[in-house]
Amino acid sequence: MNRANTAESTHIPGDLALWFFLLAELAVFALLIIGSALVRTFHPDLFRNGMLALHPQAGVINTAALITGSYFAAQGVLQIKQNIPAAKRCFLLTAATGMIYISVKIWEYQSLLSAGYSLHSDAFFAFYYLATFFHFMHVAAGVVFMLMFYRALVRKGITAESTGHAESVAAYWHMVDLVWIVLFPALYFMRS
Amino acid sequence: MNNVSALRRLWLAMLILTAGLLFISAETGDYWPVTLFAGVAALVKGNWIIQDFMEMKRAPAVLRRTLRWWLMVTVSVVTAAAIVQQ
Repeated sequence: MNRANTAESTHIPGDLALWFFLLAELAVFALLIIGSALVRTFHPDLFRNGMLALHPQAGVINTAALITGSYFAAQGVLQIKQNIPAAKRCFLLTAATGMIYISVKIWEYQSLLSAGYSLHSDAFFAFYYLATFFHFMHVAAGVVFMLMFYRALVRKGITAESTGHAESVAAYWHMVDLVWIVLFPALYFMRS
Repeated sequence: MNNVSALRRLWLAMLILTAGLLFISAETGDYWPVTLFAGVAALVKGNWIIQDFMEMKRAPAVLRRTLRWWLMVTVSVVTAAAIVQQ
């Protein structure tokens, strides 16, 4: 294998420091998810009843929104690498899918709170609000990052740094999507 | 198949898997098929996100393995907890 191939085979998408942050975030989410699974084994009835109060359709819409956002982000990275000016639209579309997620989640929170399910209701809803709101804040941050990058592309166009920045914002979004891919079935569908 | 069409196929496949979960849940209502389908679908979608959307194919093996390990552990734990609950 020559040197060029070696360099290509070890490419880290985005900034290296960002990956330390993303892995730390994933570790926190893993602790939340594993902790909730342990609580679930001790309080199965709380989880059974709590999951029945949630809205699976809202979960499906949000999953589709985040996956679609990931698709646009990945496509945006490819287009930036090919120096296609329209790449900026992909990051705007990713932000739009994040806004869909945020809107649906706010509706779901309002619906649950009006039905009397709050953070203090029981162990299931404590986990539900803690995990989903923590994730919600990450989606909101992702929308801000996407819009900031879109604005930079509109102002300066594609520059030498654009590929690295595109890979970084996309990696963050994919991390948020990855966490939701695990939370989504655990909250909405793995119920009796 | 170029990269863009490959991404588009994966995106459509993930949407189908997500909608399929809602369909199976509504149609069968049985615990085991829904739980197993949900776990497998999460593993498949997560792997596609890591491998193709995050571009981990060309990343250092340690990073790729860490992400896959995270996915495997979290999905296994939530699926196992759901099975134990039953």
